[in-house]
Amino acid sequence: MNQWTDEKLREALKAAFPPGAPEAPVRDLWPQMLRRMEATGPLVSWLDWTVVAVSGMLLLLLPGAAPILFYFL
Amino acid sequence: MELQERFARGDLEAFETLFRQFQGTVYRWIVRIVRNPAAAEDLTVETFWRIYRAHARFRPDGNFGAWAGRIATNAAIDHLHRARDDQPLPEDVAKPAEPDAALTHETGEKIAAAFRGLPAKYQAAAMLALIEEEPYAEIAAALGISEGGVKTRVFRAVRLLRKKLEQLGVKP
Repeated sequence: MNQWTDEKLREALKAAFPPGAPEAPVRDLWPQMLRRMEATGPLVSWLDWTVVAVSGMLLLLLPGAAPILFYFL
Repeated sequence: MELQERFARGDLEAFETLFRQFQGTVYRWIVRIVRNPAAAEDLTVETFWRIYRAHARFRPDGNFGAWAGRIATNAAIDHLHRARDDQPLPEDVAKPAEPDAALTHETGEKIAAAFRGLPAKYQAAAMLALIEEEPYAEIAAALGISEGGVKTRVFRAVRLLRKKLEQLGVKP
C-alpha cells in the first residue's frame, strides 16, 4: 500500500536524518564558555536587584532611615 | 565542601569542573536533537551559560546531569524554533511517486524539510523517540513532562508530518 504507515515514516525519517555527527565536541569548549561569560559581565541576581529596589524605595519614602539602612548594607 | 554545593554558591572553579565533566554528555544530547555539530557546540555553551546564571536555584543534593539535560533540551528546542522560522518550504512535488522505489535523495530532503517545519517541541520529541529511539522515560525527564505528554507530542508530530507529506505528494 502506498501510504505512510508508522513504520515507513520511521524508516524514512531515519534515512533523512542519518547518524554521523561526532559523539563529542571536536574541541574543548571551556575557552568559548569563558569568552561568553566575559562578554556578558558579572552576574547580578534578581535578589541583588530586589535589594537595590527596596533600598531605593526606603530612601525615598523614609530619608531619615538612611543611616540605619547603610549600617545594615 | 562538596563540588555541587560550591557550584550552587557561585564558585567558578566548581563550575569549570562540572563543565568539563558534563560538556560531552550535554553536547551528545543536543546534537541528537539538532543534528548539526557546529550548532550543538554553540548550544552546549549556551546551556552552560544558562546553568551558570541559574546556579543559585540549583539544589546541591540534586542531580546535576538531569538538571543540565533539561536546560540543554530547552536550549535545543529554542534553536529549532528559530531555525524553523528560517526554514524555506519544500517545493511542491507534482510528479507521481514511483511505486516500490527506494527512498531517493530528493525525497529524503523533502521529508527532512517537512520535519523541520514541525513545531519545535514536536520535532524534539519525535527526533528523540522515533529516530534516536531514546526511552520515553528519559525523553520525558529531559523535556520536563510526563511520558504520556511525550507520546502525545510524538503522535501529533507524526500526524502533522503525514499530512504535510500528503500535501507535498511525497509517497513512500
